[in-house]
Amino acid sequence: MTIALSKETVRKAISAHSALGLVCCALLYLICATGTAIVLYEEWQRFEQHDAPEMTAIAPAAIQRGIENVLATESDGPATTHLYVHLPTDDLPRATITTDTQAVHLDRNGSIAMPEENAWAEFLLALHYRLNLPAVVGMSLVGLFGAMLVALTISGIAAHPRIFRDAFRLRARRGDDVATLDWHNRLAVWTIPFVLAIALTGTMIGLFYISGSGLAAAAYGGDSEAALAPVFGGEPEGDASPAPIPDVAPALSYMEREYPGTRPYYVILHDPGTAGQHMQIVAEHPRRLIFGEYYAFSGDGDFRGTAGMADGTVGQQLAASTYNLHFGNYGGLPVKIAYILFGLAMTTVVATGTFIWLDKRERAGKPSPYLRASWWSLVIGVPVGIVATFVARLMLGNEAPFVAIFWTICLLTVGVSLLRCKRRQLSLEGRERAFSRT
Amino acid sequence: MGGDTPIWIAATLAIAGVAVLRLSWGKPQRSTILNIAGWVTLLMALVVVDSAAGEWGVAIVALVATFAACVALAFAAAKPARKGRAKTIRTSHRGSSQVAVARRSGWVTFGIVGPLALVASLLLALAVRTLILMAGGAEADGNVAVLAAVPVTWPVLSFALLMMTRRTRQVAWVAGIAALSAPFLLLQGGPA
Repeated sequence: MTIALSKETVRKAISAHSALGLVCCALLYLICATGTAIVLYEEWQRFEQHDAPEMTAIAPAAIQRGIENVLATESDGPATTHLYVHLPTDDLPRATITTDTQAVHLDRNGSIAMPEENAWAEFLLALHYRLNLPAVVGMSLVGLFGAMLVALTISGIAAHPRIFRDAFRLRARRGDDVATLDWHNRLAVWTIPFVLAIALTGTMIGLFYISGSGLAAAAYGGDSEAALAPVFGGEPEGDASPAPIPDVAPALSYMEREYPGTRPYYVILHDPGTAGQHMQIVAEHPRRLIFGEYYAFSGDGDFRGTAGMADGTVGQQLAASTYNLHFGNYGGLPVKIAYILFGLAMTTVVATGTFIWLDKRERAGKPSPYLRASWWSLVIGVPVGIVATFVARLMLGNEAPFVAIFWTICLLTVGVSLLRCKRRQLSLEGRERAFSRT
Repeated sequence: MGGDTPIWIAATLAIAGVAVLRLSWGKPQRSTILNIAGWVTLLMALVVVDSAAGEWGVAIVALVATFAACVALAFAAAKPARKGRAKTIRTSHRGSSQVAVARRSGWVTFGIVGPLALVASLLLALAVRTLILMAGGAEADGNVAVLAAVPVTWPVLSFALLMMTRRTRQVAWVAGIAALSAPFLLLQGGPA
């Protein structure tokens, strides 16, 4: 099958594809590589702190004890505005409580076992999510690059007139420019559905600060929370007067009784210890792409309703499906392995794309040794940097300066590579001069 | 296990669809029948799994089909390749640079394709929201439409703009979309 596009259109598409690729390649490579690694976010956390207590389930009474224990440790300081209880899941079989100021693991009885130490996994997530930059800038930047990945996919399809006919042609063992081109085109073609799903959901998440703020400014007087309230539900009015902390046990029992087909994995207490406090239980719905449904309860444990993630409007269900579809946590380890394989393919496509452009320049008699050296060093430097931070986590512990280590290694790799390239170029020029004299 | 049967059937159909396409595209001559058979088998896989497991099942079966294609690619990669002169005309640098008829500022192109096209896309997304609300749609659907439309419209518009050879045409498209969408800004503010 051949898509009938004129030669002129194909040439324009190649030109557009090259331009987009060149502008985006470096950060896009970083985003794809870290995205592939972060598929195992939960597994990395378990590896980082392998001695944390694990369990398949925890009794509601133990959770309540855990909440009381954690809040007791904060009785001298400012009250937390939110308290999150992560309940044991298949991927992360731990009970963990997070407040505004701390995160601790619980044992089966609800006693505080140890502080949560997952700084490396958090670093990796932040590197992928926001390039270690402040959220507004970093997430928007990642969203912009996600959108450009969509544009690259479209332009790539248009630039390839024999896209289907050649779909199984991979001359990898040639080991030359043609092999590079084949790797790029074949992996790109077959991962189109995956790449579009990842890029569109990633862009939707990343561009929130732009599109969500635009929506808020246009329709809600700049109030982003109000713009999201129809989708994810709003927060009721608070009442700061003191009250006994809520009992989560009746709410969890209600879930077990009324929604036996769901699996609660988060309990969220809003403004605990105040008269305006209320609870949400986030429960996973098996065989759905949605991250879960919000089940709202009063501070006394009375059920108030759901937000509509599972059975609300199409928009609500779509919004709730973006996270799992992007991060690949909707089908256990097999889906995660598939995401890692296709993520590696995406990363390879980005890497080979720039090599193809460099090869073309070389064939046209315009070699770019410094650019090639820089690109090679980045392609190698990013995974080396990630591995180095992981080694630092193992050797230096949770407090290791991951951001500094990673970016220093990336810069060093590029710097050393450019120096070596310069030395090689000077030696080549010297040999040429000597040859011309003889 | 009974509940899983349609998923297994769909997964098998997805693998079979990829295999038939591999067979079809490996032939020296086009085979319309095999092409259609391959695509129809893949379509059937999606229909079967969608009726049994909805969007979750579609996502799973899409991964299965992609994995099957990657296995076929692995076999292709392992095959010895003839090292002759390859036809690379469609990827030659010369061909792509011939498009640049007139010298244009990269920064201006970046400005039009990047920020200006993004603003136009956002305005278009807000216009879509207004139309959804005016048609009686839910506020949640309208708001999600804004968040979901920008990631689609901006890349498509960017690509279309990069395909245009004349600067005036690029500007006219961005300005046109913005001008058509801007009046809908006055109609924002909750459901109609």
